Amino acid sequence: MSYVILTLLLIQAQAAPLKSVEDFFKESQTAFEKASKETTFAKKVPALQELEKSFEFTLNQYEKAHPTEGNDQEQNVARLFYTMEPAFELAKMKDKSKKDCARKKQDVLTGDNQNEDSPANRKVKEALRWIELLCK
Amino acid sequence: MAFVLAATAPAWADGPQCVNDKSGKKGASNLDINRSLIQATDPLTQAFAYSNFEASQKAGYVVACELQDRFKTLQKASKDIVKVAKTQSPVKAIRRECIEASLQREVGNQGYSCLKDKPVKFENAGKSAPCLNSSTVDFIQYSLNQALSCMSSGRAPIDPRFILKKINNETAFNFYVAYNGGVGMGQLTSNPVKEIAGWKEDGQFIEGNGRHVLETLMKSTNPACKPFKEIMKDDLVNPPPRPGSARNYCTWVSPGKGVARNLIYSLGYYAHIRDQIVKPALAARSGKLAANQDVLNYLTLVAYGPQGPAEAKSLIRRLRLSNNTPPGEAVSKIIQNNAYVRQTEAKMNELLDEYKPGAPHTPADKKGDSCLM
Repeated sequence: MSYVILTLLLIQAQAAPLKSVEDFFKESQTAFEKASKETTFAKKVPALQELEKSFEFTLNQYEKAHPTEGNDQEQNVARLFYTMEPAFELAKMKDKSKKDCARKKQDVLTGDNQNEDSPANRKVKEALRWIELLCK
Repeated sequence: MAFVLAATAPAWADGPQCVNDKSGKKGASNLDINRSLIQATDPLTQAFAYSNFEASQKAGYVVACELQDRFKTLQKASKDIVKVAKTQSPVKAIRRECIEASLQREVGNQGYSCLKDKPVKFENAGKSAPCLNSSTVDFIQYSLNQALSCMSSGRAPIDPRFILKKINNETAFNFYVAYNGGVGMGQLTSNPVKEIAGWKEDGQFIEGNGRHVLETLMKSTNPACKPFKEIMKDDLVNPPPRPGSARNYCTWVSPGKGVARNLIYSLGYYAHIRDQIVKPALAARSGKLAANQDVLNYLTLVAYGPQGPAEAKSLIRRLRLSNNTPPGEAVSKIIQNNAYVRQTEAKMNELLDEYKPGAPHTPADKKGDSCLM
């Protein structure tokens, strides 16, 4: 009986869909709200670092689930992760200056490589608002 | 019958032959770009005129006329410089025939002529499209190859085949094209320029991550860099006007110094993303593939395209690139999975159709090997 339950649990775990980019936008929103309540850089950082770990875990899960080649869903998650990379890097700095903040914002904008007057896309906005929060 | 022939004769029949409209299909007849180049007095146009003084003099280049008296003494020195630059160049040069073939492509959009540094807009199609004469095409080839040589010193050489493919895809060497999606030969936008030259914010000067591009240029002893160094000598202290505004377009597209600046920033940004962003990201998964120039350059193309470096990094992960991936397979997968690279390859085929009409495209042709000399 216990074997049957274990097998069912394993099948369920394997079949559980991996997090999508929409899931990460939601997770980022929750983390952002948590960090917004804090007043110092050091106290804001853990929420973002948790988010980074969650991204890394999910991306590794994707690799395990699809060892030969990833799919569009995974690449969308990876695009958001890499767009937010400058914010994750900023969170690791011990002494951040105004220049560091300006440079990380620019990294996000340059990294996106859009037309001159294109409005920032959702991924870029998410990364920028985190940098602004950390630099406030 | 005679009337019909006269009516269908190309617009340039009585004027200079348009190298960018050999068939006359475009109807190009605007001579402003040629005129702007003849009147340019910047160091790159000077170096170009010196490299072929007699032809420049005949074409009426202001720099050639102004320096006629000095030329007798300069001639030998400048020819030596050209010779030295050729022998010292760390990269092969791009053939003129391939630039000509690319120029036959119709790219449309808006162009800007820069007589007296004032941007004057024209439609880059039909009669208002510029007719480029042989001398202007010589200038394009000279500038590009000098820039490739210059920007390949002090770092891993830049593969000219990928630059050819990129320019062919984006502007087909119509260096005067500018719009909000990109300006000039390398289709620059303000963000890469800020990364290289830095910017001012709240009274503070912020150095960009690509500052090393200008620093390496200024330190270079490669003779090919000399005119570029002179044109950009102040850029490290005073960032140039950004390409985002139409009033600044001549800084980036004017024949002479605009072309010079555009090439240095475009090639510099290419080298920056290749060496500082793509290579480390690839090396983290596969040292073997990071050392493979084809794989590295194709991924750099991805990073130079829409969605930028984030797209390249996410693709490296998606394709599960590792030390077990054969480089050829990695290249095929990159082409297959990225629309911008696929478009670049398709446009290369269009170039080859012009370069070798009726002949099948060999793998070497497609790689761009036959466009090098």
